[in-house]
Parts: sequence; structure tokens; C-alpha cells
Amino acid sequence: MFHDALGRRGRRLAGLGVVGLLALGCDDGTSKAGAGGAGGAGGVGGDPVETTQEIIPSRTARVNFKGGTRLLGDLAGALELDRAEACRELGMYDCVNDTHRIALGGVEPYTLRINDPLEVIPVTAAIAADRVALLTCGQRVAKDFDAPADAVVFKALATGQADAATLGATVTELYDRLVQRAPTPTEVEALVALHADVVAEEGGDGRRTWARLSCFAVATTLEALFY
Amino acid sequence: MSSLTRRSLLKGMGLTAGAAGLGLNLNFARAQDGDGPRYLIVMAAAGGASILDGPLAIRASESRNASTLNTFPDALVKGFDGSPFRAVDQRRESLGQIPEAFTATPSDIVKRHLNDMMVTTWTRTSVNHTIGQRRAVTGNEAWNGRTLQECVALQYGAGHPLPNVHLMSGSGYTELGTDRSLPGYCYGEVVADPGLWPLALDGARGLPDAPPPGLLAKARAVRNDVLDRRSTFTQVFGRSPKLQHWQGIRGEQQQAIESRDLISKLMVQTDSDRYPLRRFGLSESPLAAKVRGAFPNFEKDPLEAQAALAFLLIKYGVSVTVTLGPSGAFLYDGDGDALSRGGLPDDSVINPPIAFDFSHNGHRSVQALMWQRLYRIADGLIRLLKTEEFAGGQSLWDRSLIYFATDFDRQKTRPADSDDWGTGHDLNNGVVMFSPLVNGGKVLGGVDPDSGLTYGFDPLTGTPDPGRHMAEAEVYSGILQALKVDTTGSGLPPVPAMSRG
Repeated sequence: MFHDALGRRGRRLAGLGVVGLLALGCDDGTSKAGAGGAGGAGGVGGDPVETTQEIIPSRTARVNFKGGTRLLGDLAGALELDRAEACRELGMYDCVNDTHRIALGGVEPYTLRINDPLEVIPVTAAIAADRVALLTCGQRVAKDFDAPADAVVFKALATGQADAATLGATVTELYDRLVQRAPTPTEVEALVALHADVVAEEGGDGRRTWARLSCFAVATTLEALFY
Repeated sequence: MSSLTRRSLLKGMGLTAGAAGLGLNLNFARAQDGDGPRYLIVMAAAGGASILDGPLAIRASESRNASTLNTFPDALVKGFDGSPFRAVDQRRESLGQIPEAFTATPSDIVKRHLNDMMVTTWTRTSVNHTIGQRRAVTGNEAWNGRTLQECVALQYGAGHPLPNVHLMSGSGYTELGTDRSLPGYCYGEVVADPGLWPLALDGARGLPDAPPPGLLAKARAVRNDVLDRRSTFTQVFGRSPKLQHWQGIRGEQQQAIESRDLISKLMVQTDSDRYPLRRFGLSESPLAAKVRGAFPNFEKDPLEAQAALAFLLIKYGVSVTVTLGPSGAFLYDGDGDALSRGGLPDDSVINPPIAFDFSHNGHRSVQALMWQRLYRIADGLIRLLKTEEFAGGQSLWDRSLIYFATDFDRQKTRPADSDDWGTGHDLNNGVVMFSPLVNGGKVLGGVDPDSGLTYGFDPLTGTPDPGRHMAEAEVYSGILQALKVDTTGSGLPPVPAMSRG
């Protein structure tokens, strides 16, 4: 619903532009959005856009939780993973069908007699969603970093350095895949800054952990979980 | 701030949360009441547990209509000195039409808990299963439609990560109450599978190459404080109650759950091929062996698994009320070829189809098996809770109440001298509770041995009153009062006769 008109390549360029702006210290810390409509930045023409458009809150604010099936399906699709293997608890239980189905808004009429999704999203749903995202993102990271030449999502990072440009391009790739828009400068900056924390805590170049955590963070934004 | 003022304020806050679609979780904003929590364990006797097959069994010699009433041969009905309760020990050659012989000896368990056991008679208002179940926990919507579990969660749930946990689902016992003004934490959290559910209590532990907790916290902070807070999506749709609810549950409450290491403490399963905990950096609960000792069939019997987790939820201060009960699925411990050999092995059926409601096919046998099943679970819980100290020399059991909630009764008559027969539904019944908080060792009301109909009692004194029938609201009220739930302003009738002391 929030797709913009740009292709993936255009949005990548926009992300690189954002990184360029960051390097010049142009982020003034204010909310910035591209021209992509309600979903956020559009990255028109490959340059970051400091939108001046007024954000008008929805009167009805009618959104719904994606639910586990759609969430995992979307994640597997966005990260180009086999849905059946994308997320397995304890290496064997499907995250949605076997483990977190009810918490994530599913039904199971045959043995549990739950014919409708729970009326109130349970407390454990947010944790379950985090686990689903961490597992699927972890799978993609492992595949890409274990075989960089065949990497799908994190190719630049898996084959290159964890510099600002690469990190920024990766953030753009993640936003493109997970929420179908380009990131704003603020979003890029926040996730790129997370890399320093990873390095400080883990040592090394922090690429794998950062890749997984950035993927997780974007995949569990409200924008990614609700429609 | 006085407690009254605080309560008023909190009720107001609850209204706000309700207006936000049960959104804002105020669990950690609300102070703990009084001298600490009481615990309500609702055990759902789904399908209709007849009090005449349980503690109010009638001996044939006591009834003028023994042949056509649900009475037992005198020799089967065990009594206990100084106690009004009874138990029927019997050997059955089949379970309805199911060719399985079994033995039920509930007297052993009843005898152990005579002083904490209470029977209250009542007459119900529906013979529809779901409605009867719901009214068993709402007293027929006696207090704005709040369930007993929600009332207890409201009173004592503050500071508990998941005050109200439903270990069973798809029943009237576990529906949301209709009072949506309560804080979000009062409403039941559903556990679909006690074995795997603890995995949903930590965002990262047990995942391959899980990121360190500190880094995960930083990633979450980036997400919550920057990506979400400043996204156009949130600014446009931020008023959505669902978004607000989600933001609420992934805040303090999530941190509280994860910081308590519940993924370990509540893990009933042991490391095995089926649950490779160690391989994923997890471990079983420190109390797993103890719990498995009380519920040794927890891997085969979902009700035992529910009970094991119910105990741990209370023990570790996660919940103040838990709801559990048998499913409607046929459970049998044996191989699939047994029927071709002429019948199922003795004592192999764990749960009949549709639980107590299989009484439609074989009342006496099904009631015998199911009463014993519930008694065993209650016995295990009581024994476990007695071994755990609450504080000041009190055990957790000293503050707990087990309520055998049931849909309604079954027909009280039978074809002349039948040994097993099918029954329909009946409104008139009684209900069993175990607790040091109730008027233990008592039957409140009584039963007419010629009709099988129960009668009521004076709610203030407990004096039997053959001309009175107890309403659902009275039993509901009596349970809440035994648990010392503040019912001020509820309009509920006082029923001190149900409380101890």
C-alpha cells in the first residue's frame, strides 16, 4: 500500500545519497521523509529529499497487525528464503505454524478450538515477532556471509568493508526489501550508528551482527508489522 | 496517596486504557494491593461434572428412587469420618462404548484434602456449554461481565508479568469478559502449547548465534525511539489503538518478562531429541524435575503439561490466576492396533472424547474417569504449592484456591438399574473448591436423595436451606470474597459462608 514509484535501483541510489549527506553533516536531527507518500521516503532522482510536506495524522488510523503467517511469508519473500525453512524454533518447529501461531494472531480450530484470532494481541506477540525476525534475518545473514559470492541481500557488506557508504547502502537495501521504500536520512544515520555499538561490544568488524540487527530492527518496525 | 484514592485513579487509568482498545498496559504503574496476592486456579470441568458422581454421591439405600436415580451401590461409596464428602471407588469394564477397562479410586485423593475441600450447591441458568462455561466464571455477568480471573488479576496482578494465563483455549471459561474498562494486563494470555510457549518469553535466547542482550537492546532502542517514533507511518497512524497497544507490550512488560529469565524457569520440557534445549543454549526449569514428579505424564497428557506450567507460573510470580482444563480430544496411551486385538489396554484412556460431555454416551463411566482425572491434577498442584513458601511461613497453597468450574450438571435419572447410560444436561448442581481460604470440610447446602436435586444455604451463615437455590452470582461473589478481592461497588451479594473463619 505504500509502494512508491521507484525501482529498487533508484532507491539504492537514494540511500547512497543519504549517506553522502550524512558524511557532510547535513542531518539536522529533524524528521525527514522522502516523497514517497505516507510510507516515508521516496528518494526521487537518487537524491535525499528533505520533505516539507505536512504530515496529517489519520483520523481513523485503521491499521491491522499482519499476523504471523503474513509476517513470515513477507520476511521470507523479502529475504529470498524458502518459507518452509525460513524460521524454525529449536531447529525443528515452524515459528508460526508450530510455535507462535496463536500469539501472532493465528487460529487453530481443530484441537485448540481457537476459531478467531485473539481479540487482544497478547504480550508475548511482540517477543515472538522479534524472534521470527531475528531467526529469518539470521538465516539470510548466515547464507550471505558464508557464501559472499552468492549473497542476496548483504552482498556489499559480505564482500566489502563496513564503511559508512556500504552500511548506508545496506540499510537502503533492507528498507527496500522489508518496507518497500527508501529510508530517510534519520533512519540511515540511526542504523549506521548502531555499527559502532556492535564493534565496541564485539570487537572485529561487526559486519554479521550489525547486518542481522539492522535487518531485525527494520523488520519489526510498526510499519513492517502493520498494514 | 491513600489506597482508595489510588484505586480510583487506577480505575480511571484503566478506563483510559480500555478506550485505547485495551491498549496501554498499566501493569507496572499499579501498586500491589494489601498483603500480597491470592491465587485462583480455575480447573475447567468442561462438559458437565455432576456433583452426584463426585463428593455428593448418593447411596442406593438412602433414596426411595434408587433404581431410577443416579445412585450407587452402597459398597462403592466411601465416606470419611467427620466429613460430609464422599468418593466412589469403582472398576469399570468400559468407558461408554469404548472398550477399555479402568479403575477409579478418587477416595485416596479426597481423603488427603478433606479439610481444604468445600462443596457449594447452585442452580445454573443455561444448559448450553459455552454459555454455562462463561457463566461459571462471570456469575452470569454479575459484575459488569468481569471474569473471576480478570477480577483476581485486577486485584493482585500488579507487578506480575502475565497475571492471567489461560492454559486452555476455545471455551467459555477463557473468553474475554465484557468489562473492557480494565487495564490490559487483566485479560487472559493464551498458552497454546505449554511445551513451546516459554520460547515466546525471550526475544533472542535459544536462537542460533543470538546477538548479545546488550546489542539487542540497542537495536530495539533504535527501532523504538528513532525508526518508529519518527517514521511517517507512525506519525500518520499513531493514534491507532492497535499500534499503541503494540508499543505498550514491547516496552516495560517485555523487559520485565525477559529480565526474569522465564524462558528457563518455565521450561517444563527436558533436554531431548524432541526438545534439543542444550543445543540452543537453553535449559529446563530448575524445578522441572519436581514438577515432573507431580505430573509424570506431562509429555503424553496436555492437562498435566498445563498443570506443570500452572504451578511454575504461580511459583515464579508470573501469574496470579491460571485456567486449565482437559481438551475435547480423545487421548489414549497405547498403540493404534489395540482395537484389532479386541479392546484397549486397561487404564489406557487418558481423556475421553469431549471430556465430561461424553456422558451422553456413558454417564457413570465417563464421570468416574473424569472426576478422578481432575482430582489427580488438583492433588498434584496442591502438593507442589504446599512445598513452596510464599513468605512468613505461609506456603503458596495457603493463598490459593482451586475452583472446579463446570458447565452445568447432567440428568439425574437413569433407566431402571442401569449400570451405565447416557445423560443430557441439567441446571441443578454443585461445585467443588479446594483451598485453605474457603470454608473447608463443608458442604454448603445439601442434596435430596430422592430427587438428586441440590438445595441451597443461607449465604451469611451457611445454614442449609431446602427452600433455596444458590444463584451463579452468589457463588461468584463467594469465590471473590474468599480470595479477599475488593468487591466494593460491585453490587455483589455478601456470601461470607464460603470463606474460612
